[in-house]
Parts: sequence; structure tokens; C-alpha cells
Amino acid sequence: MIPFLHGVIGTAGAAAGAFESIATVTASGGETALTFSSVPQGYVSLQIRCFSRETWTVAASVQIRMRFNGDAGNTYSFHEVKGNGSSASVQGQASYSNMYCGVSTTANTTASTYGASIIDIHGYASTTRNKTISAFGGGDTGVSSTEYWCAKHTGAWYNTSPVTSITLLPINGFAAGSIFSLYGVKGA
Amino acid sequence: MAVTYEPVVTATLGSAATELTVSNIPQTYTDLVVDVFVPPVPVATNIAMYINDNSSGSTECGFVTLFSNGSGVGSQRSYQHPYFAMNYAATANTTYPTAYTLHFFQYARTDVRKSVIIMSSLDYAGSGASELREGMRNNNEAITKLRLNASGQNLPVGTRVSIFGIAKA
Repeated sequence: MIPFLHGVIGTAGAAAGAFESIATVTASGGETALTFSSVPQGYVSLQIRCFSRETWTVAASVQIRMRFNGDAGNTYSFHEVKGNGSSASVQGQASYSNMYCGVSTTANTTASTYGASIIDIHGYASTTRNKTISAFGGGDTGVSSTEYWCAKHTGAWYNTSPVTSITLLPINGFAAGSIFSLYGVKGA
Repeated sequence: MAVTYEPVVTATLGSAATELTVSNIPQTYTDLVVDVFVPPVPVATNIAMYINDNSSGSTECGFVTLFSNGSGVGSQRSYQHPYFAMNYAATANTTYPTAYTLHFFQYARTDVRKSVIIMSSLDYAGSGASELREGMRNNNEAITKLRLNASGQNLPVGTRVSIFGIAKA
């Protein structure tokens, strides 16, 4: 079952500010998807701050994947530039079923070690434009190995519908204690 | 929705010094965002951020970097340090200022290693570099102190560290 987390509604009369907390979801362990649903539409952009680890045992770092509004079709594209401490590499995908956006550590890394990523979703509430994301993250654990890397991602969802739900996907499962926090950025 | 991203403290050097320290960082946020501004330095040098009381003998910090210097892109790894480096492909410059943003995740917890993202702007009108770095301190200590250091050289007057706190959503 995919756990849903509804946005937390603040109290009336809260002080005006540009960066507002919306919701946090924490993995209990093994989830194959985590979703922010009922995303409020009153911001200019959104930011997701990720502290994440996977249950995967094949590699030491792995990309986080993302979909909008439950769309699992080939309606996404992304680009990646990745650095493993020795060299940089690139990839790009079009007509893909999700966007890469950030990095998690895996079960192959030291316990209590999580990847850190920041995902920005621009113009998410637009009804006339496709949606664009940018992200950076990494999963270094302080050892000499090219299995641990960082990556810059950009991506797009080719749909002009406003984003009302955001689903984050692991390659295998999110480890217990992975935390994803959603924030809204208001316009000037 | 709760407003967050709150200013915590800004520290600015009024005279040159080898280190700029911010202590007693409140433990009430989830993440810290640290903006660092370094004016042109007297001697080209490396800039680093020490955590808490990490001595020079500490080997707790490691980081992986993605960088571009205007002619190519590359990656570098360094580990077993007492600090997080904030530049690699270019040093702090004697003519141009440099700027850095550090994001510390879950900094106040005592049950996880500390992860950081560092963005470095080292552009010198035709030279320099742009760098993105992710690092980890192999220690579960909460972060209570940050020490900006110029690797044995002086940080100039006007060097500034501004800390912001982001509360849990």
C-alpha cells in the first residue's frame, strides 16, 4: 500500500513569509513509493528536502525518482551529470516514466548514513506550462570508493495540469528513517 | 502553513582572523542553511568548514565534488579530514570574492551521521570554477558550532557567515 500524507493546514493568521512548511513523510521501512497528496496550490514553487536511504543492496548510491499526479506514463524527461570522485558522467532520457532527482545511500553503506538532496519544482501550479524540476544530491560516506557519488538533475513533466500530488520512488524500497519534507515558496 | 527559514545568526569579521566561529547554534530546527561570503583574500588559499571541536587530527569528514572550470567537468573525492572543504578546482581569490552555501540536514539529531550539501561560487572573470559537493561527517554528534577556516591564512575583514534554520515541515 502506498502511504499518503496530506498537507498540513496552518492556522489562520500565520505571519506572512516566503518559505513555508507543508508536510513531512518519514519511511517506516520498505516503502516502494511515498506520496505527498493534496498539494496546496498557493505557492510559486515547491522544495523537497530529502534525507534518504534505500533497502537496495546492489550498489552504494542510487537516484531518487519522482512522478506527478500519479502519472506513470512516458511523459517525463531528465538529464543527469554525476561525479563519483574520479570522473564525471552524463545521461539523458526522453519519454521516460519518471524523473531522476537526487540521491540516496543504500543498505550497502554504513548504518545511520543517509543521502542528502534538494529538489526544486518550479511553476508547479501553472495550468498553461509543462513542469520543470532541478535537483542536487549525493550519498558520500567518507570512504575511497567510486560507488559513492553526487549528481545534478534537471527534469520535466510534459503536462500542463497543476501538480496536486508528488510521488517519490526508490529503485527497491526506502529504508526506515528516510525523511522527505515539502516546503512552499511564495512569490514576491 | 508554518513560516520557516528563519535567520539564526550572522557573524562578520571586523578584523582579519584565521577563523570565524559561530557557537551555541540553537538545536530547535531540522536543517541549517549557512551562507558564507569571503571577500578577496590576502593570499590565495583553501576555505574549509570545521564542525564542533574537530581537531586537526580528526578524520571524520569525507566529500565528493562535481565541478566545472569553464573548460571541462570533473569530479573529486576526499576523505578522512577534520573539515568539509569548500573549494577544489579553484582557491579563494585575491581579486574576487567567493560565496558558498551549505545545507546541513538533520543537524541536531544524535542518532545519524551528518550529511551536507555545499555549493561553491568561485567565478573570477574568465577563470575559477563552479562546484557542487555532498559530504558526510562520520559522527552522530549534533552540530553546535561551525568554524570557517582559511587553511592557515587570514580570512579578511568582512568575511560573513549567516545561518538560517529550517523547521520540520
